[in-house]
Amino acid sequence: MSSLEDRDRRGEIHLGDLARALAELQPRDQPHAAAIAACLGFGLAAPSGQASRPARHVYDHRAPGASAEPGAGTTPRPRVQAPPTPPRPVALPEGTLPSRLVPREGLSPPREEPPDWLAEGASAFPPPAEPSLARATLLPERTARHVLAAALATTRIGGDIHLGRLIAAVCRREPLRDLPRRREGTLQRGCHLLLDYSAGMVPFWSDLNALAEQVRQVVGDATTRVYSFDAHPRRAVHWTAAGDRLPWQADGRPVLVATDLGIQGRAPAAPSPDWEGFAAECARAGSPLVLLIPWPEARWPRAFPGHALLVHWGPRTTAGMVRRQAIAEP
Amino acid sequence: MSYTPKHFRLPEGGVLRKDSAPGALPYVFSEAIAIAVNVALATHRPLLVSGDPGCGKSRLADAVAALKGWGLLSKTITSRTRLETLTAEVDQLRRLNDAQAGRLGGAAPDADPQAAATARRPDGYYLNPGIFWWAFDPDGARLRGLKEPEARLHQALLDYPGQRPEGKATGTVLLIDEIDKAEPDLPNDLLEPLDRRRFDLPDGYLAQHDDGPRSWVEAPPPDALRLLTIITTNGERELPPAFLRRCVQLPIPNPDEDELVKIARHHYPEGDADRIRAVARIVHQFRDPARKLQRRPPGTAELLDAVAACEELGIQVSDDPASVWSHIERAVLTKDQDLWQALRGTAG
Repeated sequence: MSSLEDRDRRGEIHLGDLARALAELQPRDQPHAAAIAACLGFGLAAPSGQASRPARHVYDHRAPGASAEPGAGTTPRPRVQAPPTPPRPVALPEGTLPSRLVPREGLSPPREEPPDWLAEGASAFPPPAEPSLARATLLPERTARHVLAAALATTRIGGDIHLGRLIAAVCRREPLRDLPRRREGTLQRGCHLLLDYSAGMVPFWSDLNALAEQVRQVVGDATTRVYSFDAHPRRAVHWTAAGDRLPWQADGRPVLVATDLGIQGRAPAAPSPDWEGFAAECARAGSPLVLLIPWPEARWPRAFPGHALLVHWGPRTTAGMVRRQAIAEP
Repeated sequence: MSYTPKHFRLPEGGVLRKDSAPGALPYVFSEAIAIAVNVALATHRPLLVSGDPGCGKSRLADAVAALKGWGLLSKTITSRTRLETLTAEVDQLRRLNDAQAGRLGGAAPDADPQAAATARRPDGYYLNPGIFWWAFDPDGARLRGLKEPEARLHQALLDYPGQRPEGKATGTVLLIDEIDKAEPDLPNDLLEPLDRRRFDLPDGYLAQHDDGPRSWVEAPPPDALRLLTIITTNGERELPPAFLRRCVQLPIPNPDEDELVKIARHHYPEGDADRIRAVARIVHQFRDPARKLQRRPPGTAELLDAVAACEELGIQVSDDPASVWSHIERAVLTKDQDLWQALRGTAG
């Protein structure tokens, strides 16, 4: 490649980079060629053992079913992949085996319902694994990063120079010890993510799980704390890996709540008092409050506390919409 | 190791030994590391190194610079780092105060040196070069983009901010450390200097070049200036896809117990071999439980600190929770009382 070409914008890593690397480095064998390709994001296996924490390979040329075996490339791959065949069920012996699970009087607390597994026939084998289908999340990958960054950014002094104050100081011939600067957005403060696992949110549970991962990716693992609650946000809890239960408490960090506000698709006039108390608690602690609501705006409660930012949780939401909405909030 | 990289010479056994180069510390090159560095050098792409804290990501830059005899420039990223910090930043406050004092406006290069104290300062005087400028054009950065007589007149000459071997370095390793600490926009801002090996100066500023003043700084072609950019991430925050797609990727796995011993032995060749093995075993044992508790597991850096403490203070590894070693475990390996209690299963 000439110097002139190097000077031009080279863009993303492409097949030319792979060809160049292979031609220049001349790997001795297939594993080394595969390792070189892997470094550039082209399929095959990683050069050594797995990292303890799986790297998030966003860019991956690996085709499903690609093989590192020599000659694998000569086999034409079917255009449409058939779903994997479920494993053949293990043949069970004829007849019914006697169950030894017998309810014992006096051992269980009175008036307690017997567990389902005692009443139903116990299944010795799990249901056959089904291929998981790809599902679009409410915040698509292409916009999630920008929407969440816009929604969760707080401001700090340190952005561009504040020309108005600067000119005023110069005109008054005041000595300047610091440059007056504008506020800039930052995710430095991290966030509390509160996920509503109430019955009304059942259709969005997988989106809640995806949202937790998306927020961690944008804000950072160390600065994101995820809480869950069932309809009542003030009772949200965070479970540590050690099994400790930490109740939510506003501490000045931005609070992002994914919830339907209990409206379940209807259009109530006002949110429940619990939500008002929750919003007030956030306001007292100085925590910016952002609510992601999967239902359209027409169904949102009319009288939600003004300082909260209500954002439609949907694939058409953009960062610009969130910023405009934030400016419009009183 | 069966791999022989083309673009640099691996030391014997893949181990850069202590003091094999001035100021060098030992570094153990795995085959994966050697291949990735080689690919990055061949394709002139930045090398994005990921892995747990303390696994040797940043040290890789020192090791490659030592192996190649190149200069090393590094910058640790914080949430306040902006593109201008890494390219060229204007000292606006100084410029403004000079303007009010009537010291702004430039001076002829052949002005009387005696008059330097009262000479009007040129715009370039207020430029602070970042590591990209130093990497792309070290001579220009040293002069802040001014002509040499002008820079001398105004005492604007700067010292090289990195490490350089004796004599003329033939290349530079540029380390951008912990990029996941940056605000989300910064990685995308870096695409221009990483992609095109050039960046624009702040509006209205010029840098002198052989062809005359320019409003940008660019690196010579790769044949004339060898440059390896190493970017590290702990994976705390996802990087933008457009950025990832421009980098050669190298995930560094945590070394196993034998590799930990090997690394520690190279750092402390006179150390007690049994004690080093015992410390490495405990580091290895702590990792999985720490990860399950969602805490940071001890890494190579913690291992070396613990071995150093044991060697220096004559501490023996012990299971006794009241021993001196248990304090090393808490202070150096886990750095967390609760985690230590959980790992050791002790109540107090």
